Amino acid sequence: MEGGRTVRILVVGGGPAGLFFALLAKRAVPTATVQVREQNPPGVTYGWGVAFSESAAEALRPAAPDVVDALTAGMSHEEMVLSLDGTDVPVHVGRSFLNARWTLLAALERIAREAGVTVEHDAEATVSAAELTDWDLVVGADGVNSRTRERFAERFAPTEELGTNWLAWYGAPKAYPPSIILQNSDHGLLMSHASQFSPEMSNFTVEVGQETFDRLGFGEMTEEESRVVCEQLFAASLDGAPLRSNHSPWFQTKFLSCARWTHRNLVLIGDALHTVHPSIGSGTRFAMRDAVYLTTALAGAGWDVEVGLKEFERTRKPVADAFQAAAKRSIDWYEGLPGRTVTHPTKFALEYLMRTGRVSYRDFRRQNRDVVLGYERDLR
Amino acid sequence: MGSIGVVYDSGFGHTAAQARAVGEGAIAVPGTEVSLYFAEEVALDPRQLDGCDALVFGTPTYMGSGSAVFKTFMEASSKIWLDQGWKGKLAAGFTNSSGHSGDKLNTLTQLWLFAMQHGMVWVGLGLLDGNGRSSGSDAELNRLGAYAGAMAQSNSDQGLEGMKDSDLRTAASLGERVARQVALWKGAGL
Repeated sequence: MEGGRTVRILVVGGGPAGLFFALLAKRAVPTATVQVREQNPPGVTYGWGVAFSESAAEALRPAAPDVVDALTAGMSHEEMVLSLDGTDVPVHVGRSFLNARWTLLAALERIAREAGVTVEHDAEATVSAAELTDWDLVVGADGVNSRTRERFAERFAPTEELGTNWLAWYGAPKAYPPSIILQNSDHGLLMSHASQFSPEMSNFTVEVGQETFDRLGFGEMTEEESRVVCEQLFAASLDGAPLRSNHSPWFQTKFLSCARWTHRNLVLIGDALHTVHPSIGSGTRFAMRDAVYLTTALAGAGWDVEVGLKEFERTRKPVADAFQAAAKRSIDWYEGLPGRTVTHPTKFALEYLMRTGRVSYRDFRRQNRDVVLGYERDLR
Repeated sequence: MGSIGVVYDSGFGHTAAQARAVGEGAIAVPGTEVSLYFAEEVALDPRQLDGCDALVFGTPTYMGSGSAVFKTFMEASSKIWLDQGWKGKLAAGFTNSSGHSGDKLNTLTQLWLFAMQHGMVWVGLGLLDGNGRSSGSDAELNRLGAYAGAMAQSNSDQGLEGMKDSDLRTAASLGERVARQVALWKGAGL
């Protein structure tokens, strides 16, 4: 930065992307002032557990080994289960790590603070046009409903596409391996994404198509009423376990991307910039990878913000776009499910695993010979 | 009991779905046994196919011909070819590509020649071409209009859910035809 002045960085939003970038920036430039503004009080967040595949975690390791150690210290799974009307098909798709979202955030905040980052909670998590000049760099990491993005929407030109399925992110005190649970019912197809993220708790995200959503009247129910109905619908799978809410309203997937990534010295990262889909379990990793690319680009430019931000967009965009395309395929697949008849557990398992086009059939078959042998031999 | 082996390769599951459809069509014919064999695996021991009455070969069409893995299987059968160990078996073929033509006929020709070298007897699809009239649609059987075997087309940005039901029914029809021919040949005591 010019004239040996201290680099001043403001990060709006203390989620995974914002905290991780703040940490990486502070470590890269120890003399920098790095401040994070977070609207929630410490320890308050939405949601339950977040997942990292082993490859996703390892991709982050060079940037911050201690963070990766923290996020791989908890729950890990070797297999996932595709369950159709009570028939389970276990498959090996590589190792995954899960953590409660609040545990991950607490670890990130602790490590960032230790590195010298300032984290302000209960803060007005936004930035005004006038304020931009107070900082060398402002990073908008304030999530899918980013007020930073909305304030400069004309510049970022975001496009949003709402999904046609409805989701609610519950927790359940039952041990689920990462699972996709499908149930054909009188109301239509019911889906759930479940995965254990702590010794006591699993995610249990319910997903239904619009028709089923309307038929069950979820649109008119309170969050609590919906939770009770979902608990009853999945009673067979939950086997006596309740569903729990943590700010778990129904939502439609918002598939968001921005035409431009920067405005002067302001840049968006994470969900504020572009989203993937809960179904590919990679939103947190995707956001944290933005932080890595941004730090690398800025460091390569000697922390010349103008040059660094251009480099960030140039290097990150092709990778991010490809990843988003895979997410789009996954969304389309889930949205197509309610209109189809899914009756064969192994066919469903194979179809699920091939849905993004990122898993080769040969690799899958090598790792899951028994499952595919069932597909090949049990033809009736 | 007629026994059919479906030998297939698949890159992203589409040709696997086609192979399964061939199998489902064949097994629906009473007195038929069907197994699917994955090309890279059966290439290690092609003699396990010796007991089959018919072999149905299937591979994605890549770069205008069958996949390299399928070719590995073809070459692995050369010792059997030398003794004409599969001579007189029935044979048929199927292939998938994202291109509507994709030059898939070349792949079927490749599979046919392979069967001919082995002295096998080729069973074609036996369906007139579909979707060739103003009143037609791509939901019709044999919508891609092949005669030498079963063709399928799958969009490159979709998984198995993007397979056309008509292509899978066409594959099933090939499987059924092979099974009926096997029953005829076996019944004739040949």
